[in-house]
Amino acid sequence: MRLAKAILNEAGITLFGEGATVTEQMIERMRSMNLGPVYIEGASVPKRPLEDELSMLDARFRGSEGEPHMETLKRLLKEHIQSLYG
Amino acid sequence: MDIHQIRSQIEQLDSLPTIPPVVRKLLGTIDSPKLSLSEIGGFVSKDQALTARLLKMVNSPFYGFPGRISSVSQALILLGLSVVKGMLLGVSVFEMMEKTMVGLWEHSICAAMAARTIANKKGLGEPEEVMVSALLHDIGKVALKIRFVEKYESALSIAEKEGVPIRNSEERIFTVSHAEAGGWLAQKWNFPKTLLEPIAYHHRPNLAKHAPIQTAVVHLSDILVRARGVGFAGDDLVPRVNNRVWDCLSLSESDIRDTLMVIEDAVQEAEEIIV
Repeated sequence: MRLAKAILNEAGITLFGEGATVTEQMIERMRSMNLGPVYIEGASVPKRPLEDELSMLDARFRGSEGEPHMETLKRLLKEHIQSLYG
Repeated sequence: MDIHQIRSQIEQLDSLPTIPPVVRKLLGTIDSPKLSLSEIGGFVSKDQALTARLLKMVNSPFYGFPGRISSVSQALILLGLSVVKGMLLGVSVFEMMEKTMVGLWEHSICAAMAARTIANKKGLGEPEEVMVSALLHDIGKVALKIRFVEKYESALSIAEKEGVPIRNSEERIFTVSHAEAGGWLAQKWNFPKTLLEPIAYHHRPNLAKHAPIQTAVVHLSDILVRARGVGFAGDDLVPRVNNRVWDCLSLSESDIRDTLMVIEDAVQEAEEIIV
């Protein structure tokens, strides 16, 4: 488990660098330091099945069918969402 | 409803106890040459909790401002008074946003990140200012909901039952939409036109005279975030993109894909920022 982003203190000094391996000791230190969010490497798992996401996309674009720019946006959104599911 | 009465109620938003006195006072100031940035910095710094939230926000890797900002004065020098004013307001209304409309904060943060990305791609001189105007573009919704709770619930209910955009149901009830309400606030708070117009005209970008590009960026950012289905802005419809905005920004498909990826990152981080 590695840090996806460096952790800085309020003065902007790096406490733990990006890519650092997260150890149990480090987690204990982080807890005691009252830091902000900690980001760990790795793709997040999409919350909904792809089919649901795509049907919700259709629903959001209802009423704008036939509009060339909206069709372009919808296609890009669809490709984007599909890419999130590998 | 009488529009003057609505405006008067909306303009009293900054008298709410949730707005810190420092922000309330700052919103009343104009960019006066009599006040130096360090004087304003010293004045804001008296509120330690607010200062800590501001510094946390500007130093967050999420916002990615250049360099490290360790004081309010430094933030003022690097970002300018209007950006700092907007961000202080943003951190102050965060709780109000969350309590008045669940999901509006996520929508606003993601729109802010999308706007900054597009502003950078278009080489705009003040991407942080565009970001702040996107962060606050729906502040009129907060104001309307807080001032007219039951009537705004009716507007939300109409939008849901009839499948119409929230701005249409707002206009039916209040005769104005959240965009006009936000514009009134921005005017009262002496925001520059570059912040005021994107807030007031993000649904009617053709009306922007002083900041048409900034307004176009916020218009498109709002649409992209809604299209991705992030957060909740009052209805689940994607507004149609204005043709002139589309032509004026002339973003490539690659630019739009990049912006969608930024929104994706922002979705995951929106809940963690500031709080």
